[in-house]
Amino acid sequence: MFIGLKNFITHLGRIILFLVDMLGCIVRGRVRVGEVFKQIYAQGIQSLAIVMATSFASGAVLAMQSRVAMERFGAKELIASLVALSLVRELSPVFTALVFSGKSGAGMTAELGTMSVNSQILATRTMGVDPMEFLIVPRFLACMIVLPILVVVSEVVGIFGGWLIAVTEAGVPSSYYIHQTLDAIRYVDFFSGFVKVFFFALLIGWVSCYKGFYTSGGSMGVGRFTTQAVANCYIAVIVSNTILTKAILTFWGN
Amino acid sequence: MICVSGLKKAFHGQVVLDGIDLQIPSGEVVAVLGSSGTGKSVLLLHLIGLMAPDAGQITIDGVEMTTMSERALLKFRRNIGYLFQEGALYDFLTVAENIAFPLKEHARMRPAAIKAKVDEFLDLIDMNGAGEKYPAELSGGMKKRVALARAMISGPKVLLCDEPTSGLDPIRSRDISGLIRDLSKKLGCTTIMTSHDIEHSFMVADRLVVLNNGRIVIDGTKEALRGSADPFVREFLNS
Ligand SMILES: Nc1ncnc2c1ncn2[C@@H]1O[C@H](COP(=O)(O)OP(=O)(O)OP(=O)(O)O)[C@@H](O)[C@H]1O
Ligand SMILES: [Mg+2]
Repeated sequence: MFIGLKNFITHLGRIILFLVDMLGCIVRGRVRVGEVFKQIYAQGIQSLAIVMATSFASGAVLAMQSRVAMERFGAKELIASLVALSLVRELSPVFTALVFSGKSGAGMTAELGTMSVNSQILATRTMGVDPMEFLIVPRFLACMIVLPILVVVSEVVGIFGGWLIAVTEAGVPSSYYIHQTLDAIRYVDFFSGFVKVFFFALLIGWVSCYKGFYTSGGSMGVGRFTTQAVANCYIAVIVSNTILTKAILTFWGN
Repeated sequence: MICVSGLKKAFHGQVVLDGIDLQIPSGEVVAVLGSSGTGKSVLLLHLIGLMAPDAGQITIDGVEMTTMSERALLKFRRNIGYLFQEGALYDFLTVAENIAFPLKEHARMRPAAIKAKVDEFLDLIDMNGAGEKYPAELSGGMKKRVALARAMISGPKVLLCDEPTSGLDPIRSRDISGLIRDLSKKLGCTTIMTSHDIEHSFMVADRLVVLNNGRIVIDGTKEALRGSADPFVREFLNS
C-alpha cells in the first residue's frame, strides 16, 4: 500500500515534469517549424476521413432523433437549432477528440514507442540533439493545431448531415434550415466548444507523447503502451469534458 | 585523452562497475572484452553521459563530464560518435538523410557541401547508390555500416562502438571491424569498442581491456593477453 502510493507519486511527478519540460521547450522558442508542419500534415491526413464520416453520421442521426422528439412536441422547425447546438457545444468536440485519440494519438504513441525501444531516442541524445525538441514538441504542437481544425470540419460536416435528413425526410425547407442554424449558434456556443477542444488537445498530446517517450519492453511494449495511451486519452477526454461543461455553464452562463 | 578513475555503478544493490580506472591516449583503439552482462555497455553509456556514475570521474580532454547538466552534455556529445548495437537509425529518414543528420544539426555547411560529404561517406562504407533507401530495406550489416557513417561524419574526437560485430556473419564482422579501424585511424579519433568477439578485437584494437566482476582484470596488448596467467583471462581466451 505504502509502496504503491510512493510509486504513484513518482509516476505522477514524472508525468508533470514531462509537461513542464515540453512547455519549457516551447516557451524558450525551441520549436522546429518544419517538423511541426510535417506532423500537422501526418496527423491531419490520418484523422480527416474518419472524423468526416463519424461527424456526418452523428449529424444525420441527431436530425432523425430530434425530428421524433420535436414532432411529438409539435416543434419541427426547431430541428436545425437542436442539431447545431448539440454539435457545436458538445458532440463535435468530444467525438472528434475521441476519434483523434484512437487514430492520430495512437499513431504518435506507436511511432515514438518504436523509436524508444529501438534506441532512436537515445541515439538522438548521443548526437547532441534534444529529443524533446526534435521529436516531442512538434507532435504536441501539431496536435494542438490539428484538433481544433478537425473540430471545425466536424461541425460543418455534421450540420450538413443534419440538413440532409431534415430537408429530405422531415420536409424542412433548405433555406429555413440554414437560417435557423446560423441563428441558433452564438459566439458563446462556439467558443465554449473551443475551450473544451483546447484542453482535449493538450491532454491527448501530453498523454500520447508521454506514453510513447517512455515505452519499454520491445514490440510487446509498443502494443501495450499504445493501447494504454488510447484508453487514458478516452478517460481524460470524458472526465475533463464533465468538469469543463460544469465550469463553462457556471462561469459563462448559457 | 580519456581518463576514467574509480568509476562505480550499481543497480538496485547489484554492483556492475566496481572501481574502473582507465587512461586512453588520443588516437588509440581499445577493445573492452568480457562475458555477457559484465557491464561493457554500462561503461560505454557512462562515457557518453547517458548514465551517471555512483562514484568516480570521467574526463575527456581534461573536461570533467560526470557533473555536467543534460544541456551541457548535449553540446559536449557533438565531439563523440556513438554506434548503437542495433544501429538505431531513424526509420523515417533515408540512409543519406540519416548520415547527414549530425551535419545538418550542428555544422554550418551548405546543403551541397553536406551532400558531397555524405556521398564521400557512402563511398567509404561501400554503399554507393543506397542513399535513397530506408533503413527497413537494409540488412543488419548494412544498417551497422550506415550507423557507423552517421557516428563518424562530423569527425568526432571519440568513437564509442557497442558490440559492432554482434549478430553479423564472420565476413560482415570482418568488414565492419576493418572499417572501424580504418576510419578511426584515418580520422584520428580515440575509439573504444565493446565485444565478446576475441578474434576481431585482436584485429581491430591497439589495446585490450578485459572486465570481470566489475573490475579490469587485464589491460594491455594482445601479446600481454595471450601471456596472462589470470584464470579468467585464460578461460575467456579458450572459450
Ligand atoms: N538500466 C539498467 N537498469 C538496471 N540494471 C541494468 C541496467 N542496465 C544494465 N543493467 C545491468 O547491468 C549489468 C551489465 O549490463 P550490460 O548491458 O552493461 O552488460 P554487457 O557487458 O554489455 O553484456 P552484453 O555483452 O550482453 O551486451 C546487467 O546485469 C544488467 O542487468
Ligand atoms: Mg552490451
